[in-house]
Amino acid sequence: MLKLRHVSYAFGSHWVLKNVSFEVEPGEFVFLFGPSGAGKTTLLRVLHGSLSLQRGGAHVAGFDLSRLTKRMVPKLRRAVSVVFQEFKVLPHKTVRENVALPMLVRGIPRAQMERRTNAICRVLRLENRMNLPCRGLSGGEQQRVAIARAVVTNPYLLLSDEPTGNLDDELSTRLLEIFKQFNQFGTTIFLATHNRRLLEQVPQAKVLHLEDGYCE
Amino acid sequence: MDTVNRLVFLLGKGLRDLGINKWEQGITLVALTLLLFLGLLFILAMFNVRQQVLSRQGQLSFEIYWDSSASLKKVRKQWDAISKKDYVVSLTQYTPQEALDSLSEGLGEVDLQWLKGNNPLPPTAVVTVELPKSSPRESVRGLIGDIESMPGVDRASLSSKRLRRASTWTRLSGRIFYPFLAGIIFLVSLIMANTFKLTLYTKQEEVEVLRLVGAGRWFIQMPIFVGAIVQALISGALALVLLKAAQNSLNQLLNVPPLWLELHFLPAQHITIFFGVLLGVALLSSWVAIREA
Repeated sequence: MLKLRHVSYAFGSHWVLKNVSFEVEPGEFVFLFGPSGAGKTTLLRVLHGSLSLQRGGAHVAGFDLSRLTKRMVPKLRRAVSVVFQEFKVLPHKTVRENVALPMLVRGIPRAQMERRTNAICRVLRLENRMNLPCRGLSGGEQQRVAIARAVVTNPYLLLSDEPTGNLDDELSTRLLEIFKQFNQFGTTIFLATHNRRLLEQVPQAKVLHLEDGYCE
Repeated sequence: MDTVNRLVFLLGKGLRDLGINKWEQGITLVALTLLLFLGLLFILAMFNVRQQVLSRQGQLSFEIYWDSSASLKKVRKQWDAISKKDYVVSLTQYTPQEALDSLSEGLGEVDLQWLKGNNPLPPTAVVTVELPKSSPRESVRGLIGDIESMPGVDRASLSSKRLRRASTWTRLSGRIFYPFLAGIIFLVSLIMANTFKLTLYTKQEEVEVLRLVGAGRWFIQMPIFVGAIVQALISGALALVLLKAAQNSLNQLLNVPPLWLELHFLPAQHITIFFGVLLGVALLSSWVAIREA
């Protein structure tokens, strides 16, 4: 699912990732653990095609990142979903429209789109909010919308960057339960966090430590 | 969704998206309309100045004399042929009798009717030509050569000094008008592109999210292009309406004694170019804005 070999990345002369190598098998739940500034977000951006690979080799969900052209980036992003700390939902659009967005992009028929949106919103307890614009939702609800949008297309891999960063402990725990649930359905979860308590809640998860650009 | 449905969906999305951020869109529309109106007003002024210069300095009249023995029936056909030639704006013809009457009138009602049976005056014509923008001298000389080679034509008289002066004016007006026009278009395009770019900053968030969920180039760009085109067309049309109103008001003010200055509206060709440039700038600036987003 994920295979990195000696990946390094620099902003100017500052190396943020240094010789990072690891592998993730399909269906695994993986934490990328490290303090702020360790390079977690940079690594996720490389894996999601937002940053081009500079050194080393990486395969993500069947895509060779060293040969990834601009035209191929949307295809990679249809196979790999991402959830950010700052939600990145469209505030003027309703929950339904936000969740359906990836399916709209893929050209999925309307009836199927409707069915899947309803189902995923039920799982994430958003069914009573579906016709509300996202700007009126709480932080936790917006994060659930972002997760619903990320998993509605059954991606092979779900990348998540500090998804609980803006949430209180109770909501963080609930969110992690949701990730575990999707992991049980077969989605590979790759979750970047600096919060050690999250690691304790998923004891079976694999933990990769990233510090000062080095990964163990 | 097949390709056609998808295309229709994206076109519709572009139109629906105009309803989001109504204030920004409205302000952009007003700003573009005023900008285009000012640009068009400058172009209209320059166009009319050039028209005046060309009608006063860029037109030439010359006389054609036929042999006095030429058959009037054939001469009439030749008058008709000459009036249809390129660059000819008007032709005033005189039969020998009309020439005699005109001479008699010019001499102060002197009775020249005793010459009627033995009129020495030939058929004549006064031709007015508008000098073409490219190779004016050569073109008019070619026309005169054609006329002089017609059977029965004695000579066409045009002084080369007058021809040189008129062609200089024509060239000069072109050399001033076209760079000025290009300058105005460039300036308006720059401001317009910036206005579009600023408006599209409000869409950056949506573009970012669309990219995040795997939207391709066309899915992101098409609705934005549609929005930009619609805005450009509406503001262009409004600017033209304003320009027409301004032209009418100015005509009421200027086209009265003693000025008698008539402002002509821009020709259809200019308006077509205007809309072409408008659409080009709208597409280019929105493309640049999304690229940077």
